[in-house]
Amino acid sequence: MSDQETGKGGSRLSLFHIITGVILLIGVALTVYRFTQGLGPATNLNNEYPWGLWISFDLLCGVSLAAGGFVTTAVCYIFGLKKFHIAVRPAVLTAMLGYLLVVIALTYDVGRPWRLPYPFLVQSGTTSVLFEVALCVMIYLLTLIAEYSQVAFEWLRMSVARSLVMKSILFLTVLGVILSTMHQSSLGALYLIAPYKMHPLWYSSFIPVFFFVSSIVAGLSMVILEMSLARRFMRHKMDEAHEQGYEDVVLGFGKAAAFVLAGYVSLKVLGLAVENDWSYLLTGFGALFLVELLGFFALPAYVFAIGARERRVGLIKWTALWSVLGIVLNRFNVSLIAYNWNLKVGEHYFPGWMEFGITIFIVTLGVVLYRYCVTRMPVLHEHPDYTDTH
Amino acid sequence: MDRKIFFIILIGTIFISSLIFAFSATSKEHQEKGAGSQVGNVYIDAISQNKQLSMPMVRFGHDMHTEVLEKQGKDCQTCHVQKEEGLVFFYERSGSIEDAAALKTIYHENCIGCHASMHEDGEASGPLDGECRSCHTGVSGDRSQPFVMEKALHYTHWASEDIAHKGAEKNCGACHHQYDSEREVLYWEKGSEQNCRYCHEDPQQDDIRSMRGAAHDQCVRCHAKKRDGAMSEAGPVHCEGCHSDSARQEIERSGRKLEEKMGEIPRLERGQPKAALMLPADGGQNKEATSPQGGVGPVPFDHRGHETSTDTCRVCHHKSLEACSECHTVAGSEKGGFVQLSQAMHETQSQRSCQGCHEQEKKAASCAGCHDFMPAPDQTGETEKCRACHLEGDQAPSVSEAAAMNATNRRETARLFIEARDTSQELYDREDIPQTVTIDVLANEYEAVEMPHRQIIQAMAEDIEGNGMAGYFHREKGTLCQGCHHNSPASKEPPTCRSCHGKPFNEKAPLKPGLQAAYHQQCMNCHEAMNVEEPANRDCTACHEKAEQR
Amino acid sequence: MHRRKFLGLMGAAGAGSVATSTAQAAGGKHFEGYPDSFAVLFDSTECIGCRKCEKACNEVQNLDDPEQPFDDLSVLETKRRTTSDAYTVVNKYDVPDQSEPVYRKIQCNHCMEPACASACFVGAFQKTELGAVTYDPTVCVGCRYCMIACPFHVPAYEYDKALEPRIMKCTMCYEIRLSKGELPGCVEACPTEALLLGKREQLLRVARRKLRAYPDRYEQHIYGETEMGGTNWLYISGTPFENLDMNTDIGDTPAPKFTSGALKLVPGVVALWPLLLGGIYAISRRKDKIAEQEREQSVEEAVAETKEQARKDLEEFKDKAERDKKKEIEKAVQKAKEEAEAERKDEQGGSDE
Repeated sequence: MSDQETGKGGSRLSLFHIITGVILLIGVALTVYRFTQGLGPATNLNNEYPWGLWISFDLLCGVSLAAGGFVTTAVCYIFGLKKFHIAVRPAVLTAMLGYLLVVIALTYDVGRPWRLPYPFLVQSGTTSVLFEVALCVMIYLLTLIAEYSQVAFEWLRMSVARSLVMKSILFLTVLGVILSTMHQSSLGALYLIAPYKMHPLWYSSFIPVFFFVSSIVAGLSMVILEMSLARRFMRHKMDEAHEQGYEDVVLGFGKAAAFVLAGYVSLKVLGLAVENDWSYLLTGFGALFLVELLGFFALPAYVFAIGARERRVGLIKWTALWSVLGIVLNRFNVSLIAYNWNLKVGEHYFPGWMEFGITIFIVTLGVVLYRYCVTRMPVLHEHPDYTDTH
Repeated sequence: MDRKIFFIILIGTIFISSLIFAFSATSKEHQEKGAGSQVGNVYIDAISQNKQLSMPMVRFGHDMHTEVLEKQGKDCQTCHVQKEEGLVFFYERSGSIEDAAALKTIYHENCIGCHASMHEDGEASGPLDGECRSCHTGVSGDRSQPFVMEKALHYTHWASEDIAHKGAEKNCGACHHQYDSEREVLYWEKGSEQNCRYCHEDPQQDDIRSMRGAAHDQCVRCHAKKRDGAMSEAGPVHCEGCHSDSARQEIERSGRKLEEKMGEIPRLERGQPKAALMLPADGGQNKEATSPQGGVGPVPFDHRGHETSTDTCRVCHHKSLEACSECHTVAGSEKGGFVQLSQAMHETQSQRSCQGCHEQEKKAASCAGCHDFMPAPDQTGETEKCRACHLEGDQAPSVSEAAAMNATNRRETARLFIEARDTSQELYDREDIPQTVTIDVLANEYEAVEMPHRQIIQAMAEDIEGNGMAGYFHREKGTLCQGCHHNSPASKEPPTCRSCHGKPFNEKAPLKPGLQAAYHQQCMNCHEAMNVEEPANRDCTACHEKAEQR
Repeated sequence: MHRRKFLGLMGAAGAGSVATSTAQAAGGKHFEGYPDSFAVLFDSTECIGCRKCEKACNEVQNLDDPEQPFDDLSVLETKRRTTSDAYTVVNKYDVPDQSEPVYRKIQCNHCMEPACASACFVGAFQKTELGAVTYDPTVCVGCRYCMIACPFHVPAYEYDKALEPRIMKCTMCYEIRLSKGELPGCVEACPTEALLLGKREQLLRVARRKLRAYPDRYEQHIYGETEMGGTNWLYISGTPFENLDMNTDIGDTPAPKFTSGALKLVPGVVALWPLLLGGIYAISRRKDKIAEQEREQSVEEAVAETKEQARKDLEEFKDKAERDKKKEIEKAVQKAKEEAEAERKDEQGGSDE
């Protein structure tokens, strides 16, 4: 467990460092451009599509894919399934970085980012779902930082602080689940206010439920993916418990994902039945909806089940990637395709290269930070001095 | 176990691609193929009388087939049975058949049989056995026009020397007939001719041949016969000869030409009155009513005058040629659909009632400029308007007096009152109508308007000259002025706009625009309604020059 | 778990539900409008598409100069929408059964329960008592959720400004005109008074009178009377509203009602989830504990059993040893006797010679 690897510009310049370095530099340049020239020159946003790639991907997908934090902590601490314990810290780290990046992406997207604290300090619009999202995300980020601080304190050898955090783990976990339920569902509820702009197949009064359940799926899948990637690239940081426990985590989460996905598909079908939208299935949008639901939610459910029963770790891994793509597709469908599906006057939208650039920059930032944390802190291994992490 | 995954993905792909194919196949394009011609189609649904259709109707291109058969030297009898009175316009049968299976056999064997033999001969043919949906295409994209027997066309028929009927003086009996249900024969009774549609309806009612069938029987059969007799101007035999857009336009055009040449289409004499005195009394019914029959005074109705402005009798006599009050009694009767006489006469939304028809006339471009501004008539309380039609006063007979007269006297009374009517359009003297009116009250961004006042009035008056209705209802010299100088009595010196219109957005009179809008709304809306192209509404300087910047 | 922890969780749940009850969702009530609030009635049969209203708005509100001047009517050949320098636009519509085109002026409809006001999380929009919906750029964060929320596609954003981008939309000239009792710019400028300013109730009566007096001229519907819960910009038209690109499927539900349901659940989640999760935790802990106890118990039993067995074995062994020993002694005694007997016999035999 050597601590000798440094970030970019360190003594050992690997390919990883070069690529991420270039991306980060470009990202910084784009950032300067965005904040000095405004949103207009930096994006393809227009008056018909005020929310573009940054909201669809960085925010909606980002928040749902960072749901691994609350799912894993709930599974481990509330449901008491201790065998998934090794997945907790990586998941919390991923979640914390995920939400941090969401907030960073938000500062790019919003017109006056320095005013982001206004709803809490100056004037609150409490009738707004966005207010609730903002509040929950803010508190949840603090919760995640608090949960992760245990790891940081171990690294910094601050035992007193660490034991304080350990004592409040249960409280933080419950708080995390509550906050996650609220903001994951509210991200979907944001679109409730525009029924006449949303395609009936994706608009439903059940959107909050759909978003919440799919976020659980996203969390489970992301933990599987992230553990697999860590095992592939950061194996040298894993201790025996992590190595041995990997298979259990993947199989267990795969099984859970199968059930949750099946539940999601039934909820969606129920939603269709309640709104009586069957006739829309025979249109182009209907085909897309079916591809999304059947191809990216129902099929993965079945394949997860197969993988879990036959104990095929590789299959579950790929299915996890498949289901993550499904979540991303769903978020894009809701925010960019079902939204304004019946637009009569006005331009359509496709993200500009700078929007892609910033998005890639932010994701790369996340990867770099993740690597930084994992190589130094006891995330994938136990700290030799603190072995009572149960 | 990999096979399982393979199968899942395979099934998924098949499912999704079949969906995509399915919904693309149901797209409109497929249904529009094989549109064929757009006129001259007969829709064969004979079976639907007795059985529910399991396939869509057959769209049969009749004109197309007659063309092809003519080239082959074949005539109508290829498909139509010839009886004594002429061709029977059913397919390969001499009357209507009820048996669905028999009908199907007739059509399939004969149609497909002919196609098959042509196909064997190596010629291009219609659909063959098994190509069901090539014939059973249902209704789509048809552009046939319904046929209307206009006054001029009807005149050419009854005045023609070639349509004699059994040596009678008039040609009426060649087409018009009555039906004796006891002896089951058709016969012609002179003086009792009616519009075909009074008995023949579409779709077919009871046992009476539908209008479609009867009209083709009568018209096409006769045209075919005359054609065989090498008559030079027999009517059309093909569908498009009556039902296409171009045919309709041609008929209208020749009708107009005839009218111009003759001045007026001669009156169709069928014993109708020239003038009638209309009473609020039950015609022919309830003559022994016990309670006294009062009513707003009798109406002298210029029947002859109204005939010149309608094309067929059916415009007013929509169900029969009897007097309106025969069915539409004062209290309403079942025969009249419980529509009371007062409704039948006054309903402003109807096309058939007196007042309704007059309202329609007011929408013409010559009238709309002023009349569009007038709110919809409200029949309550506007008793002044009744006097325009109903007689009153000492000189006129009352309802009971008129009811006591005999028919001849009533007609005579009506005629007298009608002749006494002044239907001329009289305006004030030329000198009394200002030539130009300078509107400069609001001149600010724009200069004053020099309005060609007299010119406008003269143009409007010329437009409605000769229109008896306008002449009659514009009772006073100043009535035309009231088109613009509204909401005030007719006068030689009517109020100017600014007498009443002033500041805009007056809370107490929200429906009254301010002066600027009053000018603009009045002028612009009138121009629009009367299809005046110049000055255009948005061409500000056409009416007032732009003021120079000071 | 410890009792204290449990009580702590309950307290948190209670505090949470009280704190979040400030989310005042507009559920169940319907806003009838401030009494005496102003509205504008637009009569599309009077509009001639001259664009003087656009010009007046631009001047009164000090907006940027447009690319094409306002008297350029060729602009009407394309359909436009409001933009960051046009609070209002006029569009031309060709109607199938009319020879003349029809025009419509598009601007903020000043809804009675505005979607933008409900959506804004800093409360930058306000429905004033005079009827106008105003925008406060001093608190706006620029999240643009109002643009998503507006069913009429009205708010526009100044994307090209880096430091002070604002949402731009018609304010019924609230600051400059309406609050001083004057007419909004567009209303004042219209040459045919296609725009009428008045109290909303009165304008509805005026509109109804017009519809009744001229049934052939107008569509028998006032758009904005109930749409989205009612708006303070009313429309009457001579052609079906769909021909003017106006959404007639828009329903009568005011926008805040769509999200009030979701927001109402928030206190519920905050109150119930701790119970639920705490319960699950307690049950799972209890299950673990019981499993632990059972394990201990079976270990004890196993140990006790083993001990018992060992004791029994020992006993048996001892008994056996005893018996064996006795047997040995007996054998030895027997042997000694036999030997003694044998010796005696030997002695007796020797003496006989």
